[in-house]
Amino acid sequence: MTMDANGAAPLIRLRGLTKRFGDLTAVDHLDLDVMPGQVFGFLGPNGAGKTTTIGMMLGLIKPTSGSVEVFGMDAHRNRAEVMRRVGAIIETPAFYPYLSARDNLRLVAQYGGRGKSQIDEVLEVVGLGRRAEDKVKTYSTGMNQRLGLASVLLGEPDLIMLDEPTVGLDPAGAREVWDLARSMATDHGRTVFMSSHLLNEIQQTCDRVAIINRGRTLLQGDLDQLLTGATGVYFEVDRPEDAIEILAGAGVTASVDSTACTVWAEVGAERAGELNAVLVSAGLLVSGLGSRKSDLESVFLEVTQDDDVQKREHPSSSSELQERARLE
Amino acid sequence: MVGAELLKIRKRRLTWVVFGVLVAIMAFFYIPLRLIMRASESARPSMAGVSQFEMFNQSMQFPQGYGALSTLGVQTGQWLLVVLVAGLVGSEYGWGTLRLVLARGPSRAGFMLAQLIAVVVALIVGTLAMLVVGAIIMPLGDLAVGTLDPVFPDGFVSALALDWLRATGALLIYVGMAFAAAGLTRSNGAGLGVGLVIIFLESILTPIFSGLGGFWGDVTRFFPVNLVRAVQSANELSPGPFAPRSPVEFLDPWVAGLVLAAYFAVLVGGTICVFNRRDILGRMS
Repeated sequence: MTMDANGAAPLIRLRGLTKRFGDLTAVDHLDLDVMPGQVFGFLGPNGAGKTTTIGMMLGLIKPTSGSVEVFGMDAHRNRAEVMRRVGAIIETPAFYPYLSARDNLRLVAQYGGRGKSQIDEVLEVVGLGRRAEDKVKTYSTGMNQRLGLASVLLGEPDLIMLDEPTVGLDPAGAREVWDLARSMATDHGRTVFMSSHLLNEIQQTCDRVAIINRGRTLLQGDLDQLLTGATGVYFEVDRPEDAIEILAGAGVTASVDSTACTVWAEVGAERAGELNAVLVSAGLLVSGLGSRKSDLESVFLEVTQDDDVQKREHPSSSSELQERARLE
Repeated sequence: MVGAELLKIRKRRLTWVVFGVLVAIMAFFYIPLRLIMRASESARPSMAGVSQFEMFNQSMQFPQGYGALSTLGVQTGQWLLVVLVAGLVGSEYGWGTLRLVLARGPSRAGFMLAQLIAVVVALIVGTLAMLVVGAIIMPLGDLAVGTLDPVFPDGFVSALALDWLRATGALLIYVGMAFAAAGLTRSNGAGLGVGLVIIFLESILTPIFSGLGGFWGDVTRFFPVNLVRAVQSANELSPGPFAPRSPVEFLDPWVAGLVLAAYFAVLVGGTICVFNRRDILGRMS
């Protein structure tokens, strides 16, 4: 079994998780480990299989194959036991529109068998205390989202799963959700599993991320490590193609960006001066240079675009082959 | 979980609209219709010296009128019950609230059974409430036409209790039908449509199949509507003008009751089996 440096076993462990809907493979042999106390970001473009994966973790969707372990237990065989310790919202949370927020939370508490005494408290936490008696059908999308968060907090779950938790929230509301998610992990020792396609949200909140595309894990690791490993130095030069050749001669991989006048070298910032001297001594006019620590967006785009290119070049399923034939 | 389901039924406007419609229909037969018939009494021919109004009025008077209430209640209630149950079950898919509920950990079968039990409790409360409503509208109708003279024959209470039990039990088949239709189609509208079409079809097919006779005639005896009528044929209180005029020779009431119970078990059991195997995705409509 996978363990972290402290010898802790993963709180969530997915192995070879696969879900097919007819010909469509929504999740394809997905492997994932989430350690206790982490805020884990589950990233992927729309349709990548994030919600299907969460649905399988919650026992709402039956996997075609593979395993889901939560708290060291098979999540499907021990569903009731596992779910007693989980609070989750999936996509835009749905509530009974003709009931008040308080009645909706009362139902949630009754179904889960926990948290009935905390209803007022969680409504205050999410800022809905004064609207508790209003029917949910009068709520805005953002208020609905807040009520979803309130439902997650009921019963003090050990694992909180949030699927696109800031959809419909204004920037201030989104910030509150990020802070809440962080505080759940750092102040209360809970584990937060958060899916999103909003890279900023994940970068602001999470300790560790997994990026998926077409139902497969493309990358998984600590956020700090991912970002440290993705730095670059840029040079604004008069002859970009020549610059790439010169840099290659110095053992540096480089590429031209979309503006066609900036060359990106895949090196750390400490080599900027040295490489500048190489370019200038080769007769190039360097009008600007700088370094940038890559953000999650560039990491995300890099891995998902690589995956898309690979998929086009090596289609594996019959539907992909048909699609390729149709395009050609 | 049953408590949660009852809260949903109690706080839903549809529940009260359905109950209100039922009360309004009953009240119409017991008060305005009697007044209209009395007003047009002279224009209608009498039978064996008894006017049509008198015949109708006798079967609608308190407390004998409970026999008509029981039969009329089932004939009207079946439609309204399908509306109510399909609405309750189907909206879970339409609103996407199934995921909210099931993500809290209850077993799927447990949730479905809780829903069913809550509907049955609501049915029992509703039919009991109709007895109370009857105790109000029947004397009011009697007062309106000037024939208030309540006489309780021997054994009235036990006869009323048995009639109520048969009516409530017979209505369960429509609970099962709407439960299955909405649960299997995953839609409020489709469940409602399927449920109502079945009721409509069996009322059309009964005379056609009976006319064909033989095997087809026998088949009609197993239609839910004719099984319900067979069960209610054992009622002691007279249904008066609402006695079913069916060309079908009904099954024995006990046999009909058992067949209805079997239908109910198959509908509910089948729906829960399918629900247990199904992926719960987002909103369905």
